[in-house]
Amino acid sequence: MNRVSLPQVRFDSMNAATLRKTLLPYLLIAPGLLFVALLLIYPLISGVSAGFFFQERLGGERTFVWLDNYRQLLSDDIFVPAFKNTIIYTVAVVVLQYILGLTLALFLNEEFRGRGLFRSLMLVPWIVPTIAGVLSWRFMLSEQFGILNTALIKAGVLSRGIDWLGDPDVALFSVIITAAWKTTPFVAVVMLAALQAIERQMYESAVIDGAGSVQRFVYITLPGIKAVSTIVLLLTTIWTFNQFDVIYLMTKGGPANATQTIPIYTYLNAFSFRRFNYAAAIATVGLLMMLTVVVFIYRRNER
Amino acid sequence: MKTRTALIRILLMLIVTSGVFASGAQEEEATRIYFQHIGGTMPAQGAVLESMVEDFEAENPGVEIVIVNVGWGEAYSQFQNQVAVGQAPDIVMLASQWSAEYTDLGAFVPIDEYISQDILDMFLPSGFDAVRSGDHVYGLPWDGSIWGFFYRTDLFQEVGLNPDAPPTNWDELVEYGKALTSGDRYGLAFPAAGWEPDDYFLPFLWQAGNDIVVKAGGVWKSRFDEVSARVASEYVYDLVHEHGIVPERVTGMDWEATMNSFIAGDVAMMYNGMWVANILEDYEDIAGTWTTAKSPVGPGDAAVMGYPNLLHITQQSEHPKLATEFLEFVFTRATESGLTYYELYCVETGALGWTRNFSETPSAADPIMKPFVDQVPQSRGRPLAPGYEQFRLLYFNPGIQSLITGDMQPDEFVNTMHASLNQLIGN
Repeated sequence: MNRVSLPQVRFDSMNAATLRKTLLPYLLIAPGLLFVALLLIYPLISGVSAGFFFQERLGGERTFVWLDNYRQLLSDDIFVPAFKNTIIYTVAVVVLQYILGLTLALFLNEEFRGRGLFRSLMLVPWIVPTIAGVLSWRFMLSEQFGILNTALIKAGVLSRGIDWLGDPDVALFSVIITAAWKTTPFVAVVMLAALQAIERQMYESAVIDGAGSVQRFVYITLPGIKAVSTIVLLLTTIWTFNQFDVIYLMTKGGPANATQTIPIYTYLNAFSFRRFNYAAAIATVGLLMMLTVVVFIYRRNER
Repeated sequence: MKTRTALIRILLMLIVTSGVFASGAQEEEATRIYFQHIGGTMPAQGAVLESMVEDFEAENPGVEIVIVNVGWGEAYSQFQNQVAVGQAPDIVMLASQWSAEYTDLGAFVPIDEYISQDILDMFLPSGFDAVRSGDHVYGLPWDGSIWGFFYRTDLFQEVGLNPDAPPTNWDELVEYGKALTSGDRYGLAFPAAGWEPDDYFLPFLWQAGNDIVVKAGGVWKSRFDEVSARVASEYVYDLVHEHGIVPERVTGMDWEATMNSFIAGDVAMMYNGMWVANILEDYEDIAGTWTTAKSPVGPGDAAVMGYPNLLHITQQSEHPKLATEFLEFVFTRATESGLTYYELYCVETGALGWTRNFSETPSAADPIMKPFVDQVPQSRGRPLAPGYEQFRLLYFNPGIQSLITGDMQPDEFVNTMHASLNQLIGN
């Protein structure tokens, strides 16, 4: 492995010009580093360290409690289901939006009339403000007036409407569908760009060699979009894991905690119960989980 | 010549500059009172706020009242941050449970040391429940709401019930509910989605004679272990599962969805916030087919959810006396309508004034509003025990939803609530 070593600064045998040349790069990146330190590293350290303290209120006296907040998490009967829900929610949304996004991208990569219009329309869920999108979904999923139940009943699939948001057994599913709908266009756009970067000649050669559509997809398309897919999966996993707005606007974590997730629980502890340190501990657990996922995906990609 | 022109120019500049600085100095002299108000999005409400400020400023030259409108969603956290960094407004409007928290934290001045006893005596004593600490009170009641009972008179007539004789007690509520339930229509509904269920479940507990949590000997204790809690829980469970007059789907219905069901005639009776009356009045299709009534009484007591928001002068205010003068002006000065600014604000907001004589205002005599006004003396707010907010959001509301969906039986419900509440309040 090639190692890059930093220039060794020897002040005693250095003239002013050399010194300036050596220090200049550091001086140039210093403002940027300072900016990053202020906006990223300081809040991160501050947030993580808050989890080791107890503070009655903001601005009040802080007491170092070591791992007490984390110990409490283990016996917290809301955190454990929230943790489980977060995993289910993240995996389901990421998988669903990837499959849907890729399917859409494959479809839009083909030549057909009105492709430009379809490509524009596809972006609508991504462009629409979350609040507007979620309210539309809430209306569509209404047990009494929702278009989904009406359609299913008229089609004879159901005899009675499903309580999509009020039934604890299906509420998480409803939220997953809404979240996947919202972010699928992002995946589709990125995957479409990746598909367009694959050279056409490869497909043409494969056709000449007698490869079918499945073979072309498996041996040309998939390897061609692998790197982009990794990035997409990484980003959507991070975003979905930390997603707050869709769930909060749809169910607020209910009914009966059925859609309670780590971001919602963190918010509740910080801003509804004023347990900032406990909230910091929950957020830190989330951060560690995300770091694990990021490292795992990067390692896999490197292989 | 050139020198003279230059001198004239310099002189003119000096005059202009001194004028600018003088006007700047004048502006700086104005004393600003910041009033952090929740809402302000309703045009009529905004107009009342604007006119009270204009009139006060006209009578008090050199004073500027700055109204800062914030939404309900960020009101709590914004005030929290302001207090933490020493930037609290002079006057702040808060929901009563937040007021209680910040009263305990010493964020407000004892208002009874600033404002006259006559003004304090104007209010109903229950308006101070959340802000009474020791011998002092730390806030004044502002606009209030009652969570009440609505019913469809046309559906009553359709099934042969007298529309002028709504149910008055729990037994009649069941009886009427059964008569009104048929096909896809349910007799009764109340919002039980999100964070709303306890607003509608607490009155059942109170009506059964239960206080949920009480302070005895300086210690808060859960009252879920009392028979009355079981009675209320069984009653609500039976409304859904035994009598079938409340749909299970209320767990997915917020106040708006419940109101929509009521408008559509899918439910014949509902519990909902009094603000819904204002909205229903805009629906011409159902005009004259609905009305309000006092909430049916339980075996223990007559009780409804209801409390005012509160106004406070903060400890960080540099002008508490001036802020008090403004509040006195708002509560006592009559407008052209004959109402005080406070009463006018409440009327335009569709809320109740928490004063002893608000019931004498023309708006309170309105047949739709009257049942709400009449129930103010029986109204109660959410328990003020520390940890209740946590209990409410994490255990109580999910528990009520489980009770309604049948995932929890009444026995399990009261036992779980008792244990959780005691744990959270430190027992």
